[in-house]
Amino acid sequence: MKKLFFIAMLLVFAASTSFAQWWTSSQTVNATVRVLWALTLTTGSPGTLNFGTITKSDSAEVNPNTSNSAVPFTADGIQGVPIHVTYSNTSLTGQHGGSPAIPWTPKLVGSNTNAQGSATVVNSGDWVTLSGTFPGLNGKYYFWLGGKLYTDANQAADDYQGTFTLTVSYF
Amino acid sequence: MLSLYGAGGANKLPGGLAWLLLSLFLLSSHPARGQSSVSATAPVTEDLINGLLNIFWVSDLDFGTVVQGVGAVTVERTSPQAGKFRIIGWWLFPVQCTLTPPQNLSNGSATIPYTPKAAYNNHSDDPATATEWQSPSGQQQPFYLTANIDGLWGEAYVWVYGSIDVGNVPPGDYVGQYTLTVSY
Repeated sequence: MKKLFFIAMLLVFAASTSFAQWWTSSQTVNATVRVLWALTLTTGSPGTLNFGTITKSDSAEVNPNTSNSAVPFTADGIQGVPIHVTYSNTSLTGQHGGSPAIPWTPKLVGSNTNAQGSATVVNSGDWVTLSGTFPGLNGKYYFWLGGKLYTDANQAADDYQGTFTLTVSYF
Repeated sequence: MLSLYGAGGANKLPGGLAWLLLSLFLLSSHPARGQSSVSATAPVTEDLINGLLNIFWVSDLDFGTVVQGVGAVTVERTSPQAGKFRIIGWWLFPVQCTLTPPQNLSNGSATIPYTPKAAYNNHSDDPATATEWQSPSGQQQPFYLTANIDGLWGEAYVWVYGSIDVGNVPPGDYVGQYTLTVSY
């Protein structure tokens, strides 16, 4: 029976082999990717933390919650996602040979709303969360930088400059 | 009731072939004597076979979730994220396959370039030992469906994979479509 069936099948399809592609099937498969917002960090105005003009054996402070001299930063990324915050700074060095270098202590505050007055302290190594809860949309976190410094009793007159580096990351 | 199972009861016939045999049997009978009603059964396998040559979707090619500007993202054929087709048909005849990959992935307005790759295995369901497609798109040299032979039926598998280049494109879901056409 099996042999007869096999022969019958061959006879049926032998008549069909004269036609090209006598049996065809098609199927599809999708290729997909989901793209999310990249994490960016921008500096607002003023772009420089200016402690003003002071004398030796003096101090200066910029309050990040209240001062217009505080430097604003904005992190943009995926809504509701935590980001890791790290920062470092260098002492202020005389631009024309003045010494000694002036160490300073940065104070960074932040909030996921653009509200400087109620922003809270963010320490280097902290995790903060971008605003919003919908991962498909853009979320933000706002920072303000202030700080404090003291000049030496023998501080030479000069213009002193240093750097502050703020880094944010998803991981 | 006429059974369409083989003599040893071991070989089962797909529905389409069972009806063809039934038709041949009825044509050879004597019309003057009249016909008694008969019934036939056909097995249903894991993938419903609906003809001599069948092709099934197994999985999509998934590049996952990435951020803007990440650059090159690659999926290898051995990755669980690779796309996959399964071909089931008669192993007696060589199968001609034509693969049409997407030119890019699109969200409807922006596009992400895609470099396609494909491979097939007509010996086993193993991407590691698969043969790379002769060209990323177009026809492959015909091959026989010699994997997992069961009676007259055999199988082959096709994997689609490759890499995309994610630039500074708008966030969202991007899709492209592969089409595989098989024929005797």
